[in-house]
Order: sequence, then structure tokens, then C-alpha cells
Amino acid sequence: MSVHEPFWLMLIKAGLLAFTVITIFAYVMLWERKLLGRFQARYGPNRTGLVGYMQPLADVVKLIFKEDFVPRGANKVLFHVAPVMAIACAVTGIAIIPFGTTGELFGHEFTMYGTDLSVGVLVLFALSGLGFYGMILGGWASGNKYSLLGAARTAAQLVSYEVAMGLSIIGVIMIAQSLSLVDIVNAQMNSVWYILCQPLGFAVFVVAAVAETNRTPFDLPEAESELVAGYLTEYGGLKFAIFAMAEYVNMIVLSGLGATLFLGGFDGPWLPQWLSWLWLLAKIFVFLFLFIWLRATLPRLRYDQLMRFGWKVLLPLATLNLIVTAIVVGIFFQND
Amino acid sequence: MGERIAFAIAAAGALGCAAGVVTLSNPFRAAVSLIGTLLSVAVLFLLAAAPFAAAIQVIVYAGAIVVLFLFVIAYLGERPPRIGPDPMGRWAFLMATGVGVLVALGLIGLLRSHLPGMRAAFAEAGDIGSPRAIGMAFVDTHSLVFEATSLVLLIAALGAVLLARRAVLGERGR
Repeated sequence: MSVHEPFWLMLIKAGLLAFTVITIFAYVMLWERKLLGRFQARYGPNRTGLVGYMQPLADVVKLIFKEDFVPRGANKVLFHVAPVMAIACAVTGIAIIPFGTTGELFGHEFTMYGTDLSVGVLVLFALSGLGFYGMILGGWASGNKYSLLGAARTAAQLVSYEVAMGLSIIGVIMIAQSLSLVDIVNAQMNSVWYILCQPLGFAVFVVAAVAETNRTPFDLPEAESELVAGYLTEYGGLKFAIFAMAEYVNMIVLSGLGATLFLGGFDGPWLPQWLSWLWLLAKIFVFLFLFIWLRATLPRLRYDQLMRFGWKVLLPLATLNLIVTAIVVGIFFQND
Repeated sequence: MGERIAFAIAAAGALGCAAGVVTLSNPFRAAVSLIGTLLSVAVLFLLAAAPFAAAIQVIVYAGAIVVLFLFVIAYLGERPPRIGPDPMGRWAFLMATGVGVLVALGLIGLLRSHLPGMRAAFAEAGDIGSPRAIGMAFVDTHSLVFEATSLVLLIAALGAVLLARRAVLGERGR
């Protein structure tokens, strides 16, 4: 099962993965602006470069040359560390999403996933929990009331929705009998995609994923109309860009997790094995489109609605799904 | 060798951050220091070949419990540091003696014990840290204790709901 890879190959793979995910982030942002434009019956950015496709580069250049500003009441160290924490945890997550099987390159065995951990799903959860500290600490360290309120809201939302999300994927883990994402994809290749036997779990997962990434309609931590921009209020220039990047990379990683757990990951017909990552990419884009579609369609929830929905609707549904799955798995699956 | 270096860094981080938790006067910074301690202990779990415990440590303690600490501290706001002499100052000597005795006892205990790897070679622990091994230990070997714990937790949850209900009803009556 375990494949021994030379160290240099792992380094190249890690660099390539990080580079890819950051490039995708830049274009997801552009596509979001273009799609939002279409949803609102306008064009969206289409001036920079060919039909607007150089817009991300122009944005990055602009953000780099902005003044690097630290408010007087801020806690200097934490103010600088917070965005780094957010982006580090977000990018690390991509290492665990498998995008292909094993193969051979220049006589060396290599795997088309960053790493296969026996507790892969849990590591993703741990990383997302740590990533939230970027927002909480950044909001507190800004020394601004709006930022502090944004940080407090982040904390409450994280705890409420991570529980529902964790419970929603336990059904998948019980059916696949493994926490390793590679094993889960292999199990789906041998049976069916788990969206078919876990529709309720999938629904809860999607809603919780939107809440975990702070996207509309769950964007209360950065609600512009109530909190200016929440924990982002005092951030500008590159640090602001890094927070935005962390949010979008989190979206990509969670889309990858959803595709891997419920839509068969890199599994798909027609394509040869070394191109299977195209299937994963296509499924990730389906999720990202859903995220953007929701943002264009739904208004923001009120705070009490958010809490009531998380604890009184999502959590019981996820628990029900868990209990039914446990009974079915217990009765019909033979023990090995 | 790499493992020893990682262990040294993680152990030093755990001790240093733990010292920060009890000495930093700002509660928010103390809580941030606590995150450092928890992460270092997670690394120690990883080194002890217990990835499941490491992941759970980060998810439950760093990911949820310290978040709640920070939530409460952020809402209470910063308090100005208390000025004036420390009312416990006269007991400082006794406290230092007590801590010293405890450290000495711990050292003596450690040096006299026969932990695996202290003097002889490392003992093979077998598979005790994987999710499967922990799950089997819960439902197979220690099922009675496991069920009793779940019962106690259920009672605690019920009690919390009842107490909160009483508080909410009391507020409504006022």
C-alpha cells in the first residue's frame, strides 16, 4: 500500500500543488466576479487583457504597492502573524486531497496525492479549526470594535457548524471503513459514489461547508453592512489579499473534500489514468459554481437565525443520518 | 536523530508555552500560549505513533475549547492590570518550596523508574494509536467503561440544559 517516494519528488510535488492551488484561487476570484456580473445582468470585469483574464495579475500588483498599515491600538505581533496562520493552514489542506492513483516517473514510483494519512479527514478538520484562529486573532489584534465583533462571530460560527460538518461525513467514513481519503475514493470506485447512499449527509455537508468558509448567506463575521468588514476592517494591501486568498483556498480545499467524499474524487469514465485529475478539477468547479451561485442568490441570515439553523436543524439532521447509516452498516455489512 | 530533534523542539515548545499560560498577565495572550502548548503536545502524540490522538487533540482542544475561551475573553474585554502589592506575596517562599519539592520528587521518580527506552532499548508498543485500534479498545476491551462514560456525559448535558432553562425562565419572570 505505502509507496516510497524520493524526497526531491515530494518537494517538487508540494511546490507544484501549492502553485496550482494559488493560481486556481486567482481565477476563482475572477470567475466569481464575472459570474456575479452575469447573475446581476451585467458584464463583470472584461477590460484587463483578453476579456479580462489579466485582472488577477493587475489586482495583485495593485495590492502589493498599497501602504502596509498597522493601527496604533493593534497588537503588532499577532496582527502580522494572523494572516500567515490563515493561509498556511488553508494551503496545507490541499496535500491530503488525492487527485490520481500511483504511477511511475523516470523509474521512480510516485503517487498523485500529496500524502495519504490514516487519519486524513481528521487532519483536514484540524487544519480548518486552526485556520480560523487567523481570523479570530486578526480580529482581536486589530484593536477595533468591529474587528472584535467579527472575531467573536467567527468563533461562535466555527464551533456551531464544525459539529454538524463532522457528523455529516461520519456516514461516509462508516461505509468506506476508513479515514484515509485515498481509501475512500478506492471504495467508491468499487461501489457507487456516496452521494447516492448519503444524500442527506451530502446536503448537510454542503450547507456546513458554506458556513465554514464564511460565504454568503453565512458571511456574518465580515458582514459589510453591519460590521464594516468584521475581522478584515483594519487589514489592507498584501495582508488583506492573504486573508482573501485563505478564504478562497479554503473554498477550493473544502470543494475537493466534498468531491472526494461524495462524488467519487478523481473517479470518472473516458479519461486515461494519468489524466484522472481532470475529473477532480471538474467536480471542484461544480462545487465552486454552487458557492458563487448561492452568494448571488441568497441574502445574509440574521445572527439568531444562523445559530438556530446550525443547532436545531443541521445538527439533528446530521445525527439522524448518522444513526440510520450506523444501523444499516451494522446489519448489512459483513465484518472483516 | 530527526525524531529526537522534533521531540526536543516539541517538548521545549510545550513547556515554554505552558509557562506562558500561567505567567502572562493578559488573558488573551495566555489563551494564545495555550494553543501553542496544545499543538506541541499534538506533535508529541504524533511522535509516539498516535496520529488519531494528535488529530483529536487539535480538533477538540485547539479547535473548539480554546476558541470558546477566546470567545469569552473577547466579550469580557481587557481589564486593566491590578495595581498594588500582591496579597499572596508573603506566601511566595512557601509556594517556591512546594514547587521545588514537587520537581525534586518528579525527578527522583523519573530517574528510579524503568520506562521503556530509559536504560534498555525501546520496547515495541504495537498498534495502539491507529483509529482502528482505539475503536476496538472502546467497543471491545473497555465497552463497559465506554458506555458508563457516555451515560455520565448524557447526564451532564441534561443537567446543563435544565440549569440553563431555569436561568432563562428566571430572566423572563423579571
